[in-house]
Formats: sequence, C-alpha cells, structure tokens
Amino acid sequence: MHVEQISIFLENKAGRLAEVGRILADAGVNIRALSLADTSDFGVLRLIVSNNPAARSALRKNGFTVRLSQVTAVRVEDRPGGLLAVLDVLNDAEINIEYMYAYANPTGGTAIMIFRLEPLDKATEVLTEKGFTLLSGEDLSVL
Amino acid sequence: MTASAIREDELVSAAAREQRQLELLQATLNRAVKSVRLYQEKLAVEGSEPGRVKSLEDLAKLPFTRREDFSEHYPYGMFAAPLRDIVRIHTAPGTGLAPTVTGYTRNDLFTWREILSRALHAAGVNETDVFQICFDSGLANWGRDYKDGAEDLGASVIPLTSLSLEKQRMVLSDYRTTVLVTSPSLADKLAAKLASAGAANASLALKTLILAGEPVSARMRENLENAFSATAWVHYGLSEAPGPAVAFECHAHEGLHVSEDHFYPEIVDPETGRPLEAGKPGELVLTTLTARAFPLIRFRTGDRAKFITETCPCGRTFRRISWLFERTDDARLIRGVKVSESQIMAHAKKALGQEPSDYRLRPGNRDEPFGLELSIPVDDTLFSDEIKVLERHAKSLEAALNQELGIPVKVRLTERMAKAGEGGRWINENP
Repeated sequence: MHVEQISIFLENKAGRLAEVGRILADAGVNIRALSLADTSDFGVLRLIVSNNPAARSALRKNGFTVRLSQVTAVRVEDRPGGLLAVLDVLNDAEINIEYMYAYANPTGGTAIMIFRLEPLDKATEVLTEKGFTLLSGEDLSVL
Repeated sequence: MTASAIREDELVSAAAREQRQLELLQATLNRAVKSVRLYQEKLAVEGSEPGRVKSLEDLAKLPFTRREDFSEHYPYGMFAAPLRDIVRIHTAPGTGLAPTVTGYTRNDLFTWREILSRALHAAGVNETDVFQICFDSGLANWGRDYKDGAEDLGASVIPLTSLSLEKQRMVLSDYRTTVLVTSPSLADKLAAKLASAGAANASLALKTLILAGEPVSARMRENLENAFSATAWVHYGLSEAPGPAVAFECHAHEGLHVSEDHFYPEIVDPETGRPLEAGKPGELVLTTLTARAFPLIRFRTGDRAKFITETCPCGRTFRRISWLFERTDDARLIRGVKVSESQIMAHAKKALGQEPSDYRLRPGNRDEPFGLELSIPVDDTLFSDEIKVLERHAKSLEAALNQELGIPVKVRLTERMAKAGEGGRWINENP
C-alpha cells in the first residue's frame, strides 16, 4: 500500500515557499504533511496533500517542476521506541531509507511516519508481515 | 618606468623585415605542405599552391586555418615534425570536445624563450625581479612559457602552481614579488583579496603587472594599477596555440607590438575573409614564420583587432595592433581561457545524459571563487525528489567543466527560466 507524494523543486530564495502555499490555497488543496530538504542553492519540498491532481496542475501552471513519487505511510505507536520498531525491521531487511518525515495526527495515540524506501515493494511486504499498519492516500485524507 | 634598451632585432627597417618575412613564409609553407596532411589538402587547391606566394600580399590567396581543424586532427595530426624531434607537448582546452595539442622542437622552445624574454624585457623585467606567475590551469602552458622567458632574464621566478588565491596573495605580500603575471580578471580577484586582507597596497613590492589573456579597458587598467600600485603591461597571445606574448606593450602603452619576426599578422573582414585596409577593425589572422613543430597558416584567431598605422614613439619597428573587446566567433574569454556555448553544452550532454532544455552563463565577479557560473533549470527529466541525485548531477557536470575548461566552474540548478533576451544566454551582471 503506497501513498502518492508530490515533490517540488524550489530555488533557495525568499518567498518561494510562500508562493507554493498561495498556489495550493487558491486551488483549495490542503497540505497534510510536508518536508523540506535544502542545500545552499536549492530545496526539494515534498508534500502529501488532499488532492494530488489539483495540486499538480496548479503548480505546473505556475511554472514549478513537480514530480510524483510513491512513499510508504506507517502507523507507529506514540511511545518511546515506537519508531525504532519500524527502523529495526527495515534495517534487518536491508531496505534503504532515502528520507523520512512525520505526518500530523492530532488524534493522538499513534504517529504516522512517511518513508521513501528502496526497494519499495520489498519494504511493503516486510512491514506488513511484521504487523505494521500501512496507510493509503485515502486513509490519510480522512484522518 | 624608464625605457629598457631596445634589442637590435626590434629595430630592423620595414623593408628588411618584410624581405625576411617573405623568405620565412615561403619556407614555412613548403614545410607545412610537405609534412602536414591538412595543409597538403588545403594548399593543393588550384590557385593556393605555395609557389604562388611571391609577396607577403599573396598570402591572402591561401585558405584559412580554423579552430575546428585542431580537434579534427587531434592529437598529432597538425605536427610538422616527427615525434622524435618533439621535446615538449602542450595540452590546452580546445573549444570543442577534444583538447588542443601542440608540439615544440628544441628549437621551438628556444624561440619561445626568446619571444617571452624580449616581451618581458620591454616591460623592464630584469635579474633583480621576483617574478610571480598566477593563472588558472587552463593557461598552464603560458605559465611554463613565462617561466622560461623570465628565467632567461635572470629573474627569480615563482612558477605557476595550483595555489588558492589566498595563498597567491600571501606569496605576493610575503615574498616581495615585483612582477606579477596574470589575467585581468584574476588580477581583479586578487585585488579584492588584498583589500579584504587589509593589506595596504603601499606595502607591496610590486611594480609591474603583466596582464595576459583578455583585453583590458582603460578603466580596468587604471583600477588594477591603483589596486597594486604597479604599472600594467598588456600581452596578447592564444590560449590554445601557439602561446603568450605574440604581441606585447612597450613603455609607450599605446597598442601592442606584434613579434613580427615570428608571426605574420593580417586583419581581415570576419564576414568576407578579405584583408582590410590598415587601421580598420577586423579579425586578427596569424601565420607562424619560425615554428617548426606546429606551423599555423592564416589562423583565424576570433580576436578583434586593428593595426595602428603611426610608428611607435619607442622606436620599435614591429607593427602595433589595438586589441579590441568583442570577438568575431561564439567563444568568450573567461580568465583568459576561451569557452564556447557549444563546447559547454557538449560536456553537459555527456555529464547529464542529455542536453539541458535551457541554460545561462555568467562570469564570476571579483568576490566569487568561480570563473564561470552555469545555471540550468531543473525540468521534469532532471528533477528527482532526492537531493543527492540532484547534487550528483550538478557536481559531476561541475567537475567535468572544471577539468575540461581549466577554470573553476559553478553549476547552479534553478527553477524554470524566462525566455533568453536579446543578449542571449550570457549574463554579465549579477542579478
């Protein structure tokens, strides 16, 4: 079970992030999770949003370079060692974490982590086998 | 600066010089046709036979040699001497994918030593000088030629090394350098370093600044002379072949004397290729008169220049040229090294797997460590959600360009770009 993530290339200059926020707001798109990775020259903004097609077309129309990728959303227990349990499984199966970030889940009790895993299918298999709950895009949008 | 004694070979009368040039030219043509297939083919054409050259004006009947010829005959195809007679091989960045390779016989090296020694002597360099050479790796060959010429004069030479600019500044101050040879843009960066290090220019021992590789505006000359408290002397040369100080300034600082006993200069209309009336600006075309291993016949330099028709107050009889700014080809001079857009795109295609959809080029300013910045918009094919993939693209292209061009290059990934304006893809100012 995978989740679609939108990545956006941003130059490292003032106002670019706000510009993305404005475009998505105008398109009526809600941001559910985000991570921003940056270097001195540029950054990559990764988003899980409520409406992928609307977000993509609005961003493209405004000249942004956008890419879709498949990420894995895992429910982890909100307690010490909750994240570690997932990491141990991935480590034992020799699955690379390209990057990861957390998903807002105000209801409490559990946290949701977003992982970019390589290889993806093997990661899904291993995590499901070990009893972790993976969430779909729809699961996330109704949280 | 007082005038240095002028050497006898610089005072030969025009008539005697022209007679000698014709003899050398005929010998060069005969040797070139005998030993280099390119010239065999070019000069076998009806009307272009070397035998037809009965006067210096007749040279205009022969076809040109161009930069493309260098890469097409890479590496040794244009050598007119067998490798057993070649004692040095120089590699310089070309303007295509292949570098330019030139060879020198023992005699050629001796000639270059003489050419450099004489040009430096005209700038007052002598055995009391501490002589520092500072170029980018793309002009490393010039570093060797300047070293030889300055050693011939007995100066204490600090040869070209791959020191950082900060270390070059340290050497300049601490070693009490009196003569600095560099390109104008590198001199400008060094001046910025001096200013930021708080080193007062009055504390430098420098008196002579030899500027090679790029033409210099009056304003830039004044700025550099003030920054270093030194007198500037401009040298003209070719970064690929055959070398530096093909033309040099004397103490009059009004144009550059062509080393006419070794090169025959012509100024032609870049459109039609026809020789221009003396004094009209056009493209400088050079023919070597004494080179044994690497003769050039009517080489189109791409540099714009014009003859100065008045005789020079210094007394030298070598004709003078004014070296002008714009070029007649698509190359640009970056810290004295020629770079062309087609060459950069060829390397980009190799490093990125495809030619970028768009790009911009900008020479680094005095405070930036790089000589050239290449900006490439990240499009759908180049983009990745992983930073490391994007950085790998930028770094691999940067490394390839650093190596191939011989100047420090910075590759910047950007968002999509506005359409290139009338000035094309070169940006001269900082945004």
